[in-house]
Amino acid sequence: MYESPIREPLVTGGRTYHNITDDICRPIENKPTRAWMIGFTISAIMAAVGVYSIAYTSFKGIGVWGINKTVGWAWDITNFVWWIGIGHAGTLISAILLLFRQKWRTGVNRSAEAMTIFAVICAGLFPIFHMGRVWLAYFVLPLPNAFGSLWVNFNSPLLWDVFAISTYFSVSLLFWYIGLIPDIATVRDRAKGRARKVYGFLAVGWNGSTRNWARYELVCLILAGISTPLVLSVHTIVSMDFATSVVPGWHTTIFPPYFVAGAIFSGFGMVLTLLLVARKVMNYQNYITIGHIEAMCKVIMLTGSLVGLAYITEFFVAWYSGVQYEQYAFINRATGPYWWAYWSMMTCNVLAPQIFWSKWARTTPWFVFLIAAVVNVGMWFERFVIIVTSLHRDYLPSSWIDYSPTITEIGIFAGTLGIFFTCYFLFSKFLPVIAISEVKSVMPVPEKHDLKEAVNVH
Amino acid sequence: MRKNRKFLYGVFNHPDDILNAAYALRSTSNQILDCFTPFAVHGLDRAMNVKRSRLGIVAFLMGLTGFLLAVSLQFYTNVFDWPMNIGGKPAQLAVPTFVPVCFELTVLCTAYGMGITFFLRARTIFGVRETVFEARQSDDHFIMCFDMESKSLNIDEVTGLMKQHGAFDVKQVEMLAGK
Repeated sequence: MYESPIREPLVTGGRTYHNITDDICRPIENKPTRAWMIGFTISAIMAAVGVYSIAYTSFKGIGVWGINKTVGWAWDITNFVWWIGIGHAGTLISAILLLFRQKWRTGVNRSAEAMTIFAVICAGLFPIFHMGRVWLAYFVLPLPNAFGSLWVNFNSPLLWDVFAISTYFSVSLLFWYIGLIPDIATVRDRAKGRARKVYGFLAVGWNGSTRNWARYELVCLILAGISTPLVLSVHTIVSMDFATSVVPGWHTTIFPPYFVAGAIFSGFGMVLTLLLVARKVMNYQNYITIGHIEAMCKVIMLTGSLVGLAYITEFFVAWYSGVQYEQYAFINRATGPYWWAYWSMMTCNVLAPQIFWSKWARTTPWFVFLIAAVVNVGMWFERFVIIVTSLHRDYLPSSWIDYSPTITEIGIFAGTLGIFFTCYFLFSKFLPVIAISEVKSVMPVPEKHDLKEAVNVH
Repeated sequence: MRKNRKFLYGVFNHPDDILNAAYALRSTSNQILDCFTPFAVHGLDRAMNVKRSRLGIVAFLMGLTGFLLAVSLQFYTNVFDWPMNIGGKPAQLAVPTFVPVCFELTVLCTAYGMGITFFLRARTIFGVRETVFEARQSDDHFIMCFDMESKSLNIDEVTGLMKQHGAFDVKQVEMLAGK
């Protein structure tokens, strides 16, 4: 249904509809492989370390993060922004690429959306446990309370964040689940016994009726339409947490587009990291083809260049503004005590992706994996640089101090990685990691008839 | 109490076949009850004269509700009930700072309002039993189904037309079915 002489086919290997169903349901129907067991165990152990560190923080208080100084919250907010950024690729792929009719998204959107949801969960842990008394987390909601008419402050970007991230999480979850329903129905129709009951419950009685497909496609289109500005709004609002403050290095109008480009950049980095492994381990080379990888590499190159442009613009504007605090903040970034973080960020985010101008680099999986990993590291350093370098030298020299994370903070960060990968392993075992019904609609099939009668009707 | 109903259905294995059959049936008096396909076959809904879904209107109304909810929430809390005094500036009706929350609540209500309406309208709700004619209707078979109790149904004509357009099997079945 999606063939053109000038396009590469989106599904290779001469697969039929039935082959696709078999291939994608196989991991769900078979016993887990050794590789899966090993990966899952390691992730679960890391997640346990995270749960322990979070519990320790909750019992002891956030003092265990060394938070009694201006720059003490650096690790927490760095990881929050890093995870939120990673959570941007999924909805970008499923929403923006749907609107732009980029059919290659069908092979990768399911995994990317799952990744979005898990990444947003990991991101949410940081601000929630940073509250200290986490059982009072509901204070961020606009609820009538016992302290007189004391409401939340809608002038604060931190409150906008509460709304933006919870909306983003909820809408991504709905979008993901609606997309999953037809595929869960496929799994249900092949399953027996208890599995059939469970998948039957989750498939909510989906039977592929044409009337329902028509509604389904409309719902997906509208969800894509509203998710597109939503995904752009989330990191815009995260960037406003910084941009509306008066701290040198943060107080810039370039932040929203700069953060959004960075989020898409890091999101695609993580999507590639996961999918390159998944396609190899689960033998999905026919569905996640070199063409898919190349397309994602091009997105990485574009957004990496945008991020680079933002870095240089920031530097230029700091100089051009004539404000000495601003100038100091940027010179200190590049040459101060954290020069190594700054130059890691520059190398990983600006220079490394430029290698994708070469077709060989874009089409060689192990090399793409390497660059994707570098992008993940680089984007972590970007947030670290923004947060630490601006806070460790603020207006008051008496509060100048260096930053290093405590063991609990490192435990929580490792724990979020563990939680993320544990969720991804469970997802890849129990749910179809490729959108079966969407891939079927874009795969090359022989045209059987010229649809003459159909054309006459219109 | 739902009772068993009798259905006639044809099984195809190519989306173009079922599409052609649906168009061919337009010129007869036979009404297709529904088609069941493993993925959205574009054009099949038009061939069956399925009306355009009105979920778009629902989405708009839900979005409007979300927007009004956000405006009234922020106006009531930060302007009416407890006007905030920030440095003595008249910041109570700070319209620009209300924009993000208005946007987010609009999107949230649109998505969930439309999503829940979709689930109810499509009768895809937790615990609903599915109507499955063949297990492979969600794999690689395309099913065109007719209600045998319909007065206008000409069984021989329908069977012939479906076979002519590539149905490899035509069956009659009596089963419990929703809708």
